[in-house]
Amino acid sequence: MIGLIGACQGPKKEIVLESDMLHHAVQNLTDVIVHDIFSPPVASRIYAYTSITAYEILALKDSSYKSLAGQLNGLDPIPAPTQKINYDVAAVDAYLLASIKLIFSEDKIIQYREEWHRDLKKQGIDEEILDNSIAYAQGVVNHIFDWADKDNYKQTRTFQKYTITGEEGIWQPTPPAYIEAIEPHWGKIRPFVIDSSAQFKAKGPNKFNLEKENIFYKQVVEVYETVNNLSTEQKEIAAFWDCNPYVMNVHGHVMFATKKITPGGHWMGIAKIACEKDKADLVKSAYAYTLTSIAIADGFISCWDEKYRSNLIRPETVINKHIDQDWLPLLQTPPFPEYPSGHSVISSAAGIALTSIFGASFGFMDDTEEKYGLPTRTFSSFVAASEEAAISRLYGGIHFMPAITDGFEQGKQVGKFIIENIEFKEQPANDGAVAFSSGH
Amino acid sequence: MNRYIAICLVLMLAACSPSEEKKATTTPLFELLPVETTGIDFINQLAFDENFNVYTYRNYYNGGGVAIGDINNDGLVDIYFTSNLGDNKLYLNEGDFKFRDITNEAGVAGTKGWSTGVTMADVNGDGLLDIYVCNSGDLAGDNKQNELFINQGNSTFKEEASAYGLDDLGYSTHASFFDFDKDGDLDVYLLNNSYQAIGSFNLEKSERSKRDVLGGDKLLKNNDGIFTDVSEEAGIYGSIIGFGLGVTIGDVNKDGWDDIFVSNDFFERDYLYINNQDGTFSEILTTAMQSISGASMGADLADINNDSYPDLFVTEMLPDQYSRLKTVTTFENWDKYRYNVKNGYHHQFTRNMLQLNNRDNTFSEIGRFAGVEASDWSWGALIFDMDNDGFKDIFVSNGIFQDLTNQDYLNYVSNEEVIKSILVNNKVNYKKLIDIIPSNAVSNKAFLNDGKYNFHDAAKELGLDSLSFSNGAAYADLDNDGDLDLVVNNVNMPAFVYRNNLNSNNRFIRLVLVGEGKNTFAYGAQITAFTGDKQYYVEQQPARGFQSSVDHRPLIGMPAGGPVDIQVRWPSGKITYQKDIKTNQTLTLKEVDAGSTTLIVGEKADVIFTKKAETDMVHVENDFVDFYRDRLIYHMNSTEGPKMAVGDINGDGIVDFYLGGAKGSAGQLFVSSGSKFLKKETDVFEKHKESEDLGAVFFDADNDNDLDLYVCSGGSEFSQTSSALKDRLYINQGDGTFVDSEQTLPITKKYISTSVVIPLDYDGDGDLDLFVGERMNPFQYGMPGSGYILNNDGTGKFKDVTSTVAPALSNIGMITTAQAADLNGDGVADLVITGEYMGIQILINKNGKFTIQNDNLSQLKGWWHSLHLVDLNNDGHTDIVAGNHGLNSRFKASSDQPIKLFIGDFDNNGTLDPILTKTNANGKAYPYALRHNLAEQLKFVMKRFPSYESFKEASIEDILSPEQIKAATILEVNTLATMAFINDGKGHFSMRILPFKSQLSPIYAITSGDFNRDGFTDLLMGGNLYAAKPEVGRYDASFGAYLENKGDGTFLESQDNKGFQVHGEIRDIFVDEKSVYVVRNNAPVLIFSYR
Repeated sequence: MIGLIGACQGPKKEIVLESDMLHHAVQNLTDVIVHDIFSPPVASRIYAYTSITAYEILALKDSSYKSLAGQLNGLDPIPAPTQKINYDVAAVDAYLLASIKLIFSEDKIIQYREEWHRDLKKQGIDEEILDNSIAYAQGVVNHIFDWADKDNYKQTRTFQKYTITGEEGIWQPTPPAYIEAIEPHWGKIRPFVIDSSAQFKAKGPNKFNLEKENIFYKQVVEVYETVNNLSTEQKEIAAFWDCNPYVMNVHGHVMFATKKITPGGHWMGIAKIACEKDKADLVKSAYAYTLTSIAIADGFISCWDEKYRSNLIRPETVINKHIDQDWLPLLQTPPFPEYPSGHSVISSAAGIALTSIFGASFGFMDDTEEKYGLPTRTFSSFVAASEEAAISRLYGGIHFMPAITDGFEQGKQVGKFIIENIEFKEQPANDGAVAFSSGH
Repeated sequence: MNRYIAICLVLMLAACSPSEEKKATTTPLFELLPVETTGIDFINQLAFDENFNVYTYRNYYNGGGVAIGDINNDGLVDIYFTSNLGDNKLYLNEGDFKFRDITNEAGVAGTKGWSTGVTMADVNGDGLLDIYVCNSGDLAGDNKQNELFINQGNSTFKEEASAYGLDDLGYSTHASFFDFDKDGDLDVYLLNNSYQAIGSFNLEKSERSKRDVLGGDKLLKNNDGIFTDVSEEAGIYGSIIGFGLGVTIGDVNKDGWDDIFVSNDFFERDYLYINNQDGTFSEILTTAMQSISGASMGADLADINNDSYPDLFVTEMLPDQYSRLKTVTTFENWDKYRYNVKNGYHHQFTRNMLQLNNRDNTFSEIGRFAGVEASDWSWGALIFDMDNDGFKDIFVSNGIFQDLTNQDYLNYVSNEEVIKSILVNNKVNYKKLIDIIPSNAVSNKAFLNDGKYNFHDAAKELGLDSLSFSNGAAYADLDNDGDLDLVVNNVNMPAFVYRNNLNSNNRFIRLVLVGEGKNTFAYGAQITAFTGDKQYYVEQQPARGFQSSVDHRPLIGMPAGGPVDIQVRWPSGKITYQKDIKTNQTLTLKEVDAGSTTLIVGEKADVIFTKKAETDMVHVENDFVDFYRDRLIYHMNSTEGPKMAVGDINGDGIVDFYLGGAKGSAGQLFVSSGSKFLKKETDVFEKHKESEDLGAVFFDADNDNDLDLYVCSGGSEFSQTSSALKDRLYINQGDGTFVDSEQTLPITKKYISTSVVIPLDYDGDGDLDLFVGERMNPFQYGMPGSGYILNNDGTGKFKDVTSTVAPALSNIGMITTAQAADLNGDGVADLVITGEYMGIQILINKNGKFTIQNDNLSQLKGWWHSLHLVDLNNDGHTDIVAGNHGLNSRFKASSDQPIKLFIGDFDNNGTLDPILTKTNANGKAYPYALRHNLAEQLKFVMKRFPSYESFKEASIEDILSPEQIKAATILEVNTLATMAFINDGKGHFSMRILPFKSQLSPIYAITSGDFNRDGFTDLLMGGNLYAAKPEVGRYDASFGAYLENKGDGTFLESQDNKGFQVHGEIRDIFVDEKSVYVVRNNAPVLIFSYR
């Protein structure tokens, strides 16, 4: 876990962290996000700020990496350390501190962090350097959160709730819990790289129309029939990519929630798998998390902007009202408008981000969902995984096809814009650029 | 202030006096008898079963019932208990509280699965009580035929359900026998619970009218001993969404025919069936009851106010303990509530309901006034007179073996356990999942009736506070000593047998009723005892409460006093009337001996008000949901209109009306032709239709001897940058046409949301000046508004002179209303102003300057909505009547335990966060909002309180920092009653709380007149507020209140409104010599004539 470098110079040791320290910190964060029931867009914001915090410290250490200051909207350079610090320790510590700030249930991460500090001491770290590193980490976290606080997140907490109009074709809460619309103002959050939430608008859904020959009606029937005739593999695919952080199970007065990682959490898991397979070091791992989480966060902002512009009805609502009163989708319908599909947008963006780092034909075994009782799936590439994530929403019965195809396209544009507009390496990563151009 | 405290003390003492007497005895009224004494060792024992548990069977903790009756006609009533998993038990009463288990000899243990409800009734009419047991079957769904144990006359029984056609295969909860068609035998209403999984229903699908063979309720008619299903032709619902937990039978409209109330659990609404007297029923719940309980459990129907009409009590699951409320409860949000209403499930709320019978097929829900709305997870409701004081009390059996709705379990704990168990064997380990649900026994509730619609929980002082998980319960006089004892069936603990130790001067009469024909116990008989001007009323119907049936010998209690007459109205319609009955005895009466069918003591109808046809003067409210923006408030501020301006605008000698419009609708001018009102199209109003009209008044602004019109633009819909908030002054052209004066009113420097305008010549210069009140700062709920004095230059040009004339009006509060009149007898008009979180503020006018009077009234901080100034006691001085939030509310406030509103931007995001708190007995302020609702506005709540458990005792000091509290604006409410204030002539006032029916809802309009023509000023008032969050419930119990002046400025307590019966939300009332005009929100104006 902790590598030792250099000969003994007295009792204190120089400590270099391997990447798994960061992977553990991310996993810890994911667990708490699941526990605290953060919605997918909010979770994506958490992943982005925590990753950026760690990356910015490591980029100071390794001159082949570039700071994102000046590249991300509104981010100024973090302060340079004034005392001798261990950058690796400071980076991971900053990740944990940023996590604690952003989640609700702090205890688990606080405890993990304390144990890790004890471990470091046991390993013989120079305590003065440890203290300096922790103090520095705190300073960087403060700097990052001065920036984060200006992203309109706080303000949007008390913006007006979604108004149910009862208009035909317009989204309304769905069974069984009829939860109100999540984050109707997420499009007003400051994006990280793209200029505005509307920079890459999806082309817009088909107009609600239930005449038999109409394209909208046909896409409704498509969902209905697909779900009614699912193959076993299609069902597995739908379940694998469900990524619904809060599924309500109702048994009379007794209910319980089953909770899973968010779509963003799943892609953080894939990033980790890729890093491990690639034997990426700490800084490269931080790079992978950061780029992926930024792509996902901007993907959600773009997607949510469109969701509450088009306010499209969910398949479950249309089908129950007009085709089959008893029909249930395979997955529980998540509580926000239909178009475009969030999972399609962000998976597409994340796939492009990871491809730019690890290449276009990077196959991997995805066991991210094992913790939640789901099997491992194998993919030949990130894009293949993202394509499957997108189509899974049709199998799940929670999206129409245009939300998937247009969402995938929107995510692609966001992802492409991001990898083309921010640089992590002093020299551009060749493999990524090549991979992407082949995708045109 | 002192006078106010004095009044409160008097009220409290009055409320306490009955219980004071009881405290004299050292043993409590009810004494729990040990098994050793009674020999009753019954336990409804539930064990965990991997296949059969609360996840696989949703009614797993519903428990068993109790039936009491004399099965061997030895004069001692016997007890039967149902058991879910074990054998049912019959205990024979051997006198002196000794019982013997004769289950096996009697042959009544039952052989079917999961027994639920039980009823003793003489099903075959042979004079012997039979036992009918409902069964819900085993997991496979088999073995659930109901069982009918026919009494063989020698304390043995034979199971003959199938021969009678009563071996129903549904998931039966209970059955109630009654003679619905008056053919002389007992028919039965069979309550069946749906078997379909609750999460699988599509609420938009209308299932109610589709009959379901197994899940559906049934009405079975007795045809010579064979019961046949007549539900469909009788108009009884029996669908898959019937989650019936209670069937309660009685005569709600007193036509002599039994009606049916069915309480339904989950999303389905309850049913109220009125007997059409022809073998069919009409289901009228949605017109009869405004608000009903959501997950309705048991119910009972009995007369709580001694008006001889049965009232209804229905139990639900709302916790009364603060910490349990904060850990086990969620409330529906506004959208879900509206969705349910839209789809036909009516207005359902999470609380017990006490429906007071208005004797016109409507009920007023007074549970919050009575203090009986919360009793935790409740099952049985029994309305009976525990202490024979003549007022029936309410017993509630409650408790759930595991807190299935514990929010930490639901959101956090269950998930982790599910994940773990799925990982182990790929399926949910229910045992683990269930074992970790918290289990908390609670005390049953005993609400003592003080005779004035107030009940207080006396479980502890009465000895009924053992912690338990109680379900079915039944009362009976087990030892024939003239008071009612109590038996309760518990889950996983021995049944309770409580002996009533009543020892007082109160009297009783016990009746043994012998019916003609096969209805041998005369089910449906109506018994009234008369003494002096009092009457006491009971109906013979033993199936009551939850899954249970009570003593077949009705017992009437009453205080010591004069002679007593008894009237029995038999099922046949025949009447027995006996004068001067000896009390403290058992009176046996026979239907066969009864004579005439005319009631000896009947109803006197006394009508003052007669409703004329609805007018076509209609107000249409816009759809705006304040809660989407102001998510921490409980009442919307956008439905407070309209007000009406009244005056003769065209000089024809007849009054005309201006009716304010809501946002999006123009105000409307109605010109009277004498016989009717014609709408006069007015473009200038159309131009301002975006404004929400609140106050409006006709007055002569420009001294040209015609009436001009000032309209307040208000509401919460607009921000202060919106010109729709500009008030309007329309100038009469002399012929009743109006032009916009184009003045920016009330002030020029900003737009404000106003509520009230009052013309007055404060400076005595001969023109009419104005007072205008600011209602609120939209988007900043709670921040105070100002009052404005606008000086008229004599030509109708107004100028704000507040800072020189009445500086105290600046930031005075959220003004809802104001009135002007001379209060101190100096001949000039003073001002009375009030509002939300305000006192009644009197501003005395002296030489054209207003000084605020800091007096007792100014300390009465309320949610005041209306004022009326009139001389109530004919002493020549102007008194004040003030309409408040009322007392029929989840909100309670006093000067010791005020409601507080803490306002500040606690999360520094630029939006004010108004946190409403109640003050508990410890003096600390606690938020009304549940954890997740507070966190919706203040994210840091989730961080500071990571679980519901950690939040359950959090006071405002735990939630906010001392600095935040210090910086907060803190408003207070200490008075919610609607009151009258009597003027001593010098502008000093004494206070009176107005009668019960004026406290049932927020009062938005008050007016007066001598309606009964006796020379004294009577009051008419009205209100209601529908736009309230589901967790507090809408305010709909008032149908208007007519208060008759006794002559001294006090008012009759009578419930009778003398014909003034108004549905809807009254916002203004105007009275002329012969008519009353009632203005309602989102409804037509109504006109009543009066005597």
